[in-house]
Amino acid sequence: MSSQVTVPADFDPENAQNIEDLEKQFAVKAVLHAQTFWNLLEKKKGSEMKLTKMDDQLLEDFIKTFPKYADPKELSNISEDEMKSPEGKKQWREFMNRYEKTLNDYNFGTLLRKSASDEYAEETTIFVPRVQFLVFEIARNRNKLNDWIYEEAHKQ
Amino acid sequence: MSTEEAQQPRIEELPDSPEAESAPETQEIPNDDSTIPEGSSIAIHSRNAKKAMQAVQKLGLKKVDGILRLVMRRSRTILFTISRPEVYQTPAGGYIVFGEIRVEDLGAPNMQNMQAAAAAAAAQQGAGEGGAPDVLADAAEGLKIQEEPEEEGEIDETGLSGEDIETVMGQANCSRAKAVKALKSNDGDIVSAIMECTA
Repeated sequence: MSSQVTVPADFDPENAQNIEDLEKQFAVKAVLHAQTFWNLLEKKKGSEMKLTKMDDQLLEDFIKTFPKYADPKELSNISEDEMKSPEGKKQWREFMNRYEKTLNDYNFGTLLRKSASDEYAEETTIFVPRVQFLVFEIARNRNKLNDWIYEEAHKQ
Repeated sequence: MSTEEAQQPRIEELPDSPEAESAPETQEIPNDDSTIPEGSSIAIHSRNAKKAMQAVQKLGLKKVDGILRLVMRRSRTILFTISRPEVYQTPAGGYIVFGEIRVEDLGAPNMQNMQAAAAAAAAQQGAGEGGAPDVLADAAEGLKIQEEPEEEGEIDETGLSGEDIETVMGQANCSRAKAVKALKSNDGDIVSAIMECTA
């Protein structure tokens, strides 16, 4: 069993297109992921939730690398422009690459709410790699920023 | 010897005559239960159950058709099953189910015994109300499917927290074995594990 994949002779990486169906699959998975996460938040308080087996480690590294997110206000409202600026991208790439081996799907596109006080909606959601989703949501969970979802669901 | 063999087929053919089998199946279902013919395929409910059902229908519940078997799991091996249940859905999404409950123990020695038991039960019921055997055939088939994941035996849960496993089980509505497997293959990522179990 060899894992070698031969590249077609006429393949031009500079002009390669994504296969549309594959992209759709990807979107389906991202939405499913968001729904599953939301359901989980309704069932269980964010502050009592664990997302991975290494939440503590992720959180520590996250706050160390991006000290400004120790402030709950920053966690609650993410500036997408800042995060996706050339500088922000570089910092994040370095951060994420540390988890290439230890986190499943560390790079997989995932929906993240810009604000911890919003539901998933078109304008309130951004598309980020899995590691970014995890660190923000773990930090929000720990800061009890997601507990309102559970309380909302258990109001009656 | 040869005369006996020649006679046998004729004897066997008789019960298989098409009129005997298809007649009850095609019969219109009458509203008045006093006119239900012997051997008809509709379920017979007690007066109380019928009253409850009528009351329930007034609450704006929607009947869910096409459900052959309902299984509730009590512990790892004990199943409560209802064959051909009457299922109603509430506007809020919950379900109300009517039917006769049967207890099944998946821990029973082996499948063959259970199928034999199911067949015996089918024969008994078949005498009382026609149309039952095929329901039980479905039930036996359902048992076979249900049984598969259990055959893995003891599950190795090392490195997983019981709470995580229960969260996945609760969210995905799956067996413990499946939850453990999904948590392992997703390296402890809860959301991904739930997704795997619900897929």
